[in-house]
Amino acid sequence: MRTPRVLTGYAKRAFLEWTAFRSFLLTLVVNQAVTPLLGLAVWSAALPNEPGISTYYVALLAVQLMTVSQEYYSVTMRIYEGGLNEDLLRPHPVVLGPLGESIAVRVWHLLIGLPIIAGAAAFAGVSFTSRDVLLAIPALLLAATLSFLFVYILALSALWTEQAGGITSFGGTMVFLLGGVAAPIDVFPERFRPLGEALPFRAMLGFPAEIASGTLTERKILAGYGWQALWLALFVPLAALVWSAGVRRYTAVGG
Amino acid sequence: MRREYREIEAVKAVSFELRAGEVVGFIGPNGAGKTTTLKILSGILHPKRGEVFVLGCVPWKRERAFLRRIAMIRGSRPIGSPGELTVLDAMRFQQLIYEVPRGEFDHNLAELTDLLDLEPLLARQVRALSLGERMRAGLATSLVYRPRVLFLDEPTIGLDVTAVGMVRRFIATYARQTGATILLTSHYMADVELLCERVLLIDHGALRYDGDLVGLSTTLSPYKLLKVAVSGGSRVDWGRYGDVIEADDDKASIRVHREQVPDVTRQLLAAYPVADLSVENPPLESVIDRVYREGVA
Repeated sequence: MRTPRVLTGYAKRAFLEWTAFRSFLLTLVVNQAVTPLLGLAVWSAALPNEPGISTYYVALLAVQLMTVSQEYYSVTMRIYEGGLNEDLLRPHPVVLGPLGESIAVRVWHLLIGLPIIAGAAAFAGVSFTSRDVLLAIPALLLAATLSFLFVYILALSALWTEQAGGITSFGGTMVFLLGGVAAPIDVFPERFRPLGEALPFRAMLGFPAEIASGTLTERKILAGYGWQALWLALFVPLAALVWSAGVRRYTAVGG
Repeated sequence: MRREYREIEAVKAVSFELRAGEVVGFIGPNGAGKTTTLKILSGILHPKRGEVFVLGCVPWKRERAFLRRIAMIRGSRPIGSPGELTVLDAMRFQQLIYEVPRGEFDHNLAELTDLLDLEPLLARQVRALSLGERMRAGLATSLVYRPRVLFLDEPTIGLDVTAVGMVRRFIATYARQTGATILLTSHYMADVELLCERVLLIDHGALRYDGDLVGLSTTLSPYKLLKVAVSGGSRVDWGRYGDVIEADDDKASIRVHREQVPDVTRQLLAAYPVADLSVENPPLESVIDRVYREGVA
């Protein structure tokens, strides 16, 4: 019971901390909303006979806001500025701090982003069935976890290099290109589609939106959950491995 | 352009034991290895070789039971809490992280509030505090779970006279009341003189002295300070007896090699009507200054 209590403590603390940055949060939310909204505008014009495309992008907007990860900044800065020293002295796993902050930031993004989601849905004239939304919720939670782990692993590269910003930025670009933002996986050229479906980027972002928009068959939903489970089974030990190797290096040579 | 790396042994020959309840000064010039040693002792750094035990634990394993019983406070960054939160928020967060029972937390908070005059600070945001206030708040948040071992890295750096006095009084009282073991680094010898009976001197990563303050001066300085006053309008060529630190016609402070003190004293008493004469160890500050500049002989 201690770990959930400490994690909740970090999430509450970060939530309170971010109340001081509401205006900045608004700009972050707008930044996050831009690409799905652009996708909505471009793809609904390009494929006017595909009503599912608008629903998909509105769902993607919600998923993007609820899976956003700021660890590329917060974790790397704590490493570069020496805050990690304090984290290492706390009697709990260090990951609880960034994870708690991630939860808080996502709640803030959702709260501030709700009017944008509602406005986009109304403007595009889309609606969701409760069945599809319920089916998408586990996928959303898995996507949020994968997204956190992915960015956390990339951000830990700051333990080796001063160029961690470039690495996390590259990761963000891959998610944009292959996660279903630049184009839905469904409109990828046929020979690339299986690859798009299998890569972790869709599991982090596009997959829950696809379920919520009702564009997937049951078989494809099951396959998507399979990919999410697989990537989770890989990311968790990978994050543990990277952390343990990184912290071994950090404690050997200093911050 | 090409980067080049070189390996530096920041700490290479340091061996000491601290008894429970001791307050020990850990001094040395900049870059001597003080902070590195503190980081090793607290578990932030993992040395390539050697053994370290703190409270029976190997620090760099960072076991929960160990981390709950130590604290490290750095004068340059005394409080790690986000600046937007209040001091009381920061303390309550420590209560959660370190699982301090409510009754114990309330008691510790009241005690720390009293000792550090925290009442006016509790409701203020950390970012709005002055450096002195930050140090008081940092001490309170770090000690609210009653660590048994405290590593203080230059706790008075940058503080004004009032804040320095308060921090020094607090550390002395805290050590007396709780029996905590404290290892303190400081460049202000007054901190060390007031708080520590034992001193460790480190230079170029190696321990050069381990003992009391009087012994430090004796060991490190081969000189004594002779203060002499003569009467009857005598004019003395003070330079004949040693290095003159300061002099008037009828009184002077002279630096004399320890072994020559009896001879010089005898000569002065025989040659002049001496009104006053004292033999002192040179001020610690000047001994340390010389050691820092010239190294330990």
